[in-house]
Amino acid sequence: MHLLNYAIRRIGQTLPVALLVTVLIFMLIKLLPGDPATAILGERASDEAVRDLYRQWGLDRPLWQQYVMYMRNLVTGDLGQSLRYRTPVTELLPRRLGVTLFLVTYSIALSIALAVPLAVIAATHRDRWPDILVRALITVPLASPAFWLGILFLIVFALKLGWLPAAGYGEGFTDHLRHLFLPALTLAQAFTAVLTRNLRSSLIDVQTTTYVDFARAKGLDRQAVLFRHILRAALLPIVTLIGVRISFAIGGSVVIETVFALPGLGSWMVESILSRDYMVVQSLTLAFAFGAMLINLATDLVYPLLDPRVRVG
Amino acid sequence: MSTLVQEQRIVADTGGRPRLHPAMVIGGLMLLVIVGASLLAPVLTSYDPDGQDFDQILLAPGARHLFGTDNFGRDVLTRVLYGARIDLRIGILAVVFPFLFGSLVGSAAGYFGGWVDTIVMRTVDVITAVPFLVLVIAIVAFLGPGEVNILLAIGSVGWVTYSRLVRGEVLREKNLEYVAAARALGFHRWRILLGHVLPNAVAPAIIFLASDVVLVILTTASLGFLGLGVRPPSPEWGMMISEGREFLSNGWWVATMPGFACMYTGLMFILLGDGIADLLRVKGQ
Amino acid sequence: MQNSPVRLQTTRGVGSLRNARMLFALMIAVGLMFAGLAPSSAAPGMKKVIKFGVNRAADDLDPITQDANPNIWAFTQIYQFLVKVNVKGNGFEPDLAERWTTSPDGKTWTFFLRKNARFSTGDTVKANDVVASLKRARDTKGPWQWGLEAAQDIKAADDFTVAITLKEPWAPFLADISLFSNAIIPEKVIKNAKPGDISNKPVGSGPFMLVEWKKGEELVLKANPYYYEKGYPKTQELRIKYIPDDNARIIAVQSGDVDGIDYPPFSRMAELGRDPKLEAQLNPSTAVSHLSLNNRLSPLNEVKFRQALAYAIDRAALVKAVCFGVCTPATTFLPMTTPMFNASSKGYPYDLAKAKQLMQESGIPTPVNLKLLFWANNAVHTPTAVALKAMWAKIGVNLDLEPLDRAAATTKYRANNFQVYITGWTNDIPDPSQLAAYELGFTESQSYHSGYQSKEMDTLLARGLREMNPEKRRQIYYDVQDLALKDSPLIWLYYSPYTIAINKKMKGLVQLATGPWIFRNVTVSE
Repeated sequence: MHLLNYAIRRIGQTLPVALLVTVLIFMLIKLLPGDPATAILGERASDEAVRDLYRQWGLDRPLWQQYVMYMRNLVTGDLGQSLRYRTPVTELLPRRLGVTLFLVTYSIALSIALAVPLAVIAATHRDRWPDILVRALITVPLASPAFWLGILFLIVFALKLGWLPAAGYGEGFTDHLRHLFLPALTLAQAFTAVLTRNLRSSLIDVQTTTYVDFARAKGLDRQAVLFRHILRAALLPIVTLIGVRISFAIGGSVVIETVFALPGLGSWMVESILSRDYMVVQSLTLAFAFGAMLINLATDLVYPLLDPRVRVG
Repeated sequence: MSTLVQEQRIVADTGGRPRLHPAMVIGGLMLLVIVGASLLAPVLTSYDPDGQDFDQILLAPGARHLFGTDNFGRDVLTRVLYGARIDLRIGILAVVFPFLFGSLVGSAAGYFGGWVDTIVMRTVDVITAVPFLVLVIAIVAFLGPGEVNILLAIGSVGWVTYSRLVRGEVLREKNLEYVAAARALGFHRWRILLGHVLPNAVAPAIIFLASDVVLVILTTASLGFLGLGVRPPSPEWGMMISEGREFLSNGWWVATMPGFACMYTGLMFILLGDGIADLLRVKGQ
Repeated sequence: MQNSPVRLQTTRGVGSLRNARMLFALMIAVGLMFAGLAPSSAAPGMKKVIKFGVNRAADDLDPITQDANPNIWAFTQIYQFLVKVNVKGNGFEPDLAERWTTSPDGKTWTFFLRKNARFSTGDTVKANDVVASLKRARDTKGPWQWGLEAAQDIKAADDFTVAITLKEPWAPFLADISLFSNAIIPEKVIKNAKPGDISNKPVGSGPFMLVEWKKGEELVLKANPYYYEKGYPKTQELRIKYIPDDNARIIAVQSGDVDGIDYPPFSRMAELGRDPKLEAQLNPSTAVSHLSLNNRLSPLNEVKFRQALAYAIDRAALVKAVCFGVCTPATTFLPMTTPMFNASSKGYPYDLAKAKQLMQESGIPTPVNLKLLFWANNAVHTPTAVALKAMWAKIGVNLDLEPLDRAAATTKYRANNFQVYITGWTNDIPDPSQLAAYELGFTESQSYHSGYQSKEMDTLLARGLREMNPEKRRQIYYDVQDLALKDSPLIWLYYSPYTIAINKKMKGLVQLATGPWIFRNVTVSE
C-alpha cells in the first residue's frame, strides 16, 4: 500500500518534470546557431528563399507562441512535422521506435546472459585464476570503441564467414533477429563488462554479511542461499545500472546505429539535431523524458522487492 | 568444500586487517609508467606530434616508427604519448568530479529522503531526459569545440549515475543495525552519513568509476565520430581512433594503437578501483 | 491389403480417394515450385533487383527545392527533362523533347515533344505538363530559380509543342533548361498537390517510379510500366539503401549484400581496385574544392596576401593527403570538365619563395592569426584543414581550426562571419556561367560570401551570358578565368572525381559528370 502511494505520487511528479524538460529543450535547440531552412536549402540558397521557408514554417513568430502552438498540437496527438522529410512525426516514429526497442532489449538480454555466469564464476572463485581471467578478459571489450568492435564483427561475420548481413534492419521478425545480432552484441560489450564487475562486487559483499549467515543457519543449502538471497540483494546496483543504461542507450546507441545502418531513434535524434529539425527533436525528447522517468520509477519500485531492507519514500 | 570451511574463510577475510592488495600495486605501477611516459614524451621521442611528412604516410609499425605513421606521416607512438596527457586529464576530471559530487548528493538524497530526495531525483530525471547529444551539440555550438567544453558536457551528465548508485545503497544501509546504534549513541546525522554510511555505500560507485574512465575516453571517440570532439590536430586518443577508422583495412595501427592505450588505461583504473573498493569493504565491516 | 485389420479395410476406400488428393496436392506443389523457378520478365541469369548503397539518405524528392545530391540523384531516376546532359558533361541530348529550334532573333526557343512519353500514372506527357512544371520552377523561390530567370513567357503552342520566349538572347539557355530542377511533373499533380505531396510522392515519366520509401533507410523504385523505351529499364527493381558508415558500406558491397556503393573513401580505392570481385570507378566530375576568403577583413583584403596564401599551398601534397593521389590540383576556378575550361592556365603552382616574397611586399606583419571554419565530421575537410595549418605555418600564418556542425558552420558562413571557409562546388549544368555568376558576380551570393566585387569582372560576366558566337564566348570565359586568378578572391585547391565501387557482375552503370547515376541500362548477373 505504501509502495502504491509512492508510485502514484511519483507518477504525479512526472508531468511537471516532463513539461520543464520540453521548455528547456525548446529553448536550447532554438538558441543553437543555424536553422532548418538553411540546413535544408543548403549553402547556395538565396536569402529570400530561406526567409520564405522560415515564414512558411512559422519560425518567425515569437518563441513563446511557437511553444504554445507545439503544446496545443501535442494535446491532440499531433507531434509535429519533420521539416526535413515533410512528413508527420507520428508516421516516422513507429518503425524507429521498434528498431531501438528491439536493439536495446536484445543487447541487455545478451549482456545479462553473459554477465551473470561470468560474475558468479568470478565471485565464487575470488582472487583465484578464474576470477583474474574473467576480470582481465572483460577489460578488452570494455575499452574498445563501439565502432571499432562493430566493424571487426562485420569483417569476421558478414564478410569472411558470410553468416550475417552487413547492414540494415531487414523485414520480418526472424530477419530482424539476424540483422540485429551483431549490433546488439556490439552494444552489449561495454555493458557486459560493467555488469560483470558490479555484480561480482555485490555478490562478494552480500556473501560476507550476517544476513547470509542467518539464512545458512536456517538450514538452506548453498545453492538456495546463492540464488534466493545473495543474487537478489546483489541485484540492487545492477538494477540501477540497467535503468540508467536503458535511458542512455536509446540516445547513446547512435554510433551502433550509424555503423550498422539501423534506422533507430538514436541516429534519428542526432540527424534531426544536426539539421535543426525542431519538431522531431522536441517530440523525441519528450518521449525520452517520459521513458527515462518511468524507468527510474520502475527501478525505485523494484528495489524493495529485491532487498527487503530497502525502504523508498 | 564444506560450508564450515567456507564460513571460516569469509570470517577471516573480514578480519579487519587491511593488507596491500596486489591489484593496487600493479595498478599503481601502471599509473606511474604512463604518467612518466607522457611527461617524458619530448625526451622519449624526437618526432613532433604534428609533424607531417607526405612521403611517409601509412607506414606499418617498424624500426623507425614503432607504432607506424598515420595518413599525414605523423609518428603514431609520439602522438599516443602526447595524447596520454590529454586523455588522463580528461579521464580523471570528467570522472572524479562527477563521482564526488554525485556520491555526496546521492547519499544525501537516500539518507534524508523527503524533499531532498525529491529534488535531487527529479533533477536526475530531467538530466537523464535531456539527450546527451543535444547538450554536447549545444555546448559545442555556443562555446566551440575543445577539451574544456567536452569536459563540461560529460561532467554535467555523468554525476547522475553515481548519485543513483550511491542512493540505492544508502536506502538499504540506513536501515541497518549499525546506523540505529550510532543514532542511539547520539552521533550527528552528517557524521553518520559521511563517516559510516557513505564508505559502505560507495563501493559500487568506485567499481563503476573504474569503468567510467574508459567509457569517458571512448565517449570522446564517439563525439569525434560525430564531429563534436576536441579540435584537430590534437593527439587525443579518442579523436585518433575516430579519425583512424577510415584506415582500418590499410592502416589498422592508426586507430588500434590508441585503442590499446585505452585498454591499458582501462585495466590500470580497474585494478586501482578494485583495490580501493576492497580496502573500503574491509574497513566498513 | 487383404490381410490388413478391419479398420484399414473400412478406410481403404477413403484412403484411395485420400491418396488421389495427396497426389494431386503434390502435383500442384511441384508445379508451384517450378513456377517459382520459371523465368520472369528479367533476362535469364540476371538479378531482378539492383541494390545500391549510398552514404547519405534522400529526404525530399521535389526537384525545385532540393540542393542535396542524394535527393537529386534519386529523383533523376523518376523524372525526365526537356533536354538532358550527356554523360561527359559537355553537351546535350534529347529527352522529352525530340528536337528544338531557335527563332532568328534568338529570343524564342521551340521544343517539339515526343508523343509516346507517359507518366507512371499512364497519362501522356503533354505540353501543358511542361508549361506547368517550368512555370513552377521559375516562380517558386528556391535555389534554382535562376535557371529560368531569362524565360519571360512559357506557353504550349499545341499539345506537343512548347514555346519559351526569353527577355533577350541567352547563351546558356539550353544548359539552363537541362537543369534537374526543370523536371517535368504532371500538371494534375501540381494543381492538386497538398504541401509535401511532390516531395513524398513524386510522379514522373522516367524509367523508374517510387513504390515504397522507408525514410532514412531505403528507397524502393520499380520500373515505370508506361516508360516509352521498350525493354528499359533493364532491371525491374532498384533499391537505394542508406549505409552511412564508410567501412560498413564497403563491407556490404564486398560481401554481396549490395551490388554497388557510392563514395567509397579515396583511401580505399587502391584496395578496392585490387579486389577481383569488384570494379572501382573514378568518374570524372564537375566538382572543385576551394577556400572562400572573407575579402572584407584585414589582412585578407590585401590581394598580395591572398596570392601569397595561394602560392604557399602544395596542392600535390594536399592531393596526396586528402585524396590519396586520385584528385587533380586545381588551376582556374572552373572544374576541369567544364566547357571553356582553360587547360593551359598555370593557376598557382607551389612556390614557397614567391609566397614569402609576396608576404613581405604586402607589408603585413607576421605572425598572422587566421581562423579556418569547416564542417566537422567531414572526411575531406578535416585532413584539408590539418594540411593547410602546417603549410601556412611556413609563411608565418597561424591557422586556428574551427570545426562546427554543418548547420552552424553554414549559418556563420552565410552571415559572413568567417575568415577562411573550406567549401566546394559541383556544376549542375555543362556551362561556366552558373559558377561564374555565383562565385565572381556579387549579386547572387556576394561572390561566395567573399565580398569580391569588380566592375571589370561584372562586365565580362554580363557579356558572357549574351555572346552567342562560341569562339568569342570562349575568349570571354578565358578572360574571366585569368582575372579571377589575378584577383584571387578565393583559393582553388583541387578537382576530385566521383568514387564508386560496384560488383563486376553489374554492367551498364553510368555516372554523369554532374553527378547522377543512370540505372536505366543496368543489369546484375546472378
